[in-house]
Amino acid sequence: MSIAVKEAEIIEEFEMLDNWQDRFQIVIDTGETLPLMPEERRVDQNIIHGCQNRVYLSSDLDGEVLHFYGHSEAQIPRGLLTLLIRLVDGEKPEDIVQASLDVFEKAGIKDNLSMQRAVGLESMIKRVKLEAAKYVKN
Amino acid sequence: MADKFDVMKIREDFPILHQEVNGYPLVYFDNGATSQKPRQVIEAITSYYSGYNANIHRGVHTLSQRATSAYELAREEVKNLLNARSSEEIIFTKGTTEGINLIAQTWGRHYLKAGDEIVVTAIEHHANIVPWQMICEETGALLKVIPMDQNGELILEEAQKIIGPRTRMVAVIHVSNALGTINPVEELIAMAQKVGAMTLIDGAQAVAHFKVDVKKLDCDFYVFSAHKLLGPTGMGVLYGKLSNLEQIPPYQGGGDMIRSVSFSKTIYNDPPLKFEAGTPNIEGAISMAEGIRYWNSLDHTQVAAHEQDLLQYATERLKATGDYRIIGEAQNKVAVVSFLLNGAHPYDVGFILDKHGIAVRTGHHCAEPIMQFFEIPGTIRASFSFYNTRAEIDKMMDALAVAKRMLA
Repeated sequence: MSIAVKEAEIIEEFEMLDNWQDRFQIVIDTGETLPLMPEERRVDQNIIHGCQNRVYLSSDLDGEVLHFYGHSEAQIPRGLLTLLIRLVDGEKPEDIVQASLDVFEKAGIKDNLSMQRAVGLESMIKRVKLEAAKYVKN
Repeated sequence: MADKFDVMKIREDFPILHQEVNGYPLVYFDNGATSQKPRQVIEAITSYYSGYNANIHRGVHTLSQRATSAYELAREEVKNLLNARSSEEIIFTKGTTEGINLIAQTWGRHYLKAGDEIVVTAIEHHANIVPWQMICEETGALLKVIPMDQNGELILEEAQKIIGPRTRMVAVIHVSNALGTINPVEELIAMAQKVGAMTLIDGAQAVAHFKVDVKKLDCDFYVFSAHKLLGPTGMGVLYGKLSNLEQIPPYQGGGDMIRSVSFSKTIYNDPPLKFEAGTPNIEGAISMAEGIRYWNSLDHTQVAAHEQDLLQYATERLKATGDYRIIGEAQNKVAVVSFLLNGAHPYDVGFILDKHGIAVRTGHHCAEPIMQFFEIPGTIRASFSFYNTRAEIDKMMDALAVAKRMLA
């Protein structure tokens, strides 16, 4: 499934909901599905700077595609991270680098975040792209 | 004075409180971070800039004289607030943080030697840790820490052991910003005096809750920020005993802090100007004084009773269900309650409270060692002011119930 298809799915899921509470309940519940990041991956170099609480992200190349691991103690950032990982996991690095990854705007999630938290979300997106960029040959 | 404490009437003086945030009436419980400002303070800033803005201390023209006298009147106002001996003991700074750095960088650099000890406590704000660590690194002095117990109270028997012949400075936070604990600074000052050490009290969280008397405390230095006491940001106070201020070297060089300058020899001004190089925060001083006047117009016995009622009410409501863990239950506390919703991260709870128009602080409150002590990532902190109400606490509890449904 391409990033675009997965993005459309997420947007559809959120479009039906007309208030922040329902949207964020989905975000929180989605976070519960994130597989536990192995302890040895929760190291300083995998911390995403710019988030208020501690958020980790790392990736592995598996053949042609990338697999992502993430962790956050707080539920809302974990939910956002899970949605982001759902979009890019199993995709080719060059596709991830080129994707707009603006699903959070389109799904009406970003509007509900404070400035500081929106910055945290941007940092997650940037980090995903940086991870992918490591494997893209110029 | 005998009038009943009319919180609704007081709220009318604070324009910012009358607004909606995210569709709900604002509930402002982040007073520990900064207090809101009464109309009188806001008007003092406007009337300075629209009526008598001029540089001070030098001009002979009328506007400059008006600005100078308002600025120096602010010093008198602070002197009276703290019950200092004279206004020469009042130095204007950017805030509490600068006051501590000033002493560390002037007194500390001049007097500290390798092996000397600076004593702080386990309950400090970063602002009363890092400046001392920096000067320790420079001079070879050592930082010693008085521990606290599970209630968030300092262990005085340990203090007795730590404060000793090598102690040169005991620097203590008067009221904990993270937990609300009122520290027994009188006892600590007495211990310091017994060994001939200096004392600095960080009063950032104290001045907005109760009367501080530096003569009675007999501390060497006392620092606070105007913005936590109804005044503007970027403005603060360092009180120092005049005999100390005369002996310690100046902080920064520049205009106003000198008596005469030549390339061969510069003679410094007397305190307080010796420590106030450059054009100061004039409107900051003037509007800070207006905040102090507003504070003085309140009946402090009633304010204390009202704030303690809020603290007690919030504590009771949080304890009623067993869903929350209160961090810091000292005997003597100001109206601050730090807590956790069981099973939820404070960051997420803060988000949901904000969605209900409720402003609280979440995180480590610039006091990471306290969070390390309790082994928690941070807390949710509701810090009350005299303009808050029980009805607002009810709103917070309703929003917390939503947070619990969504998170826990």
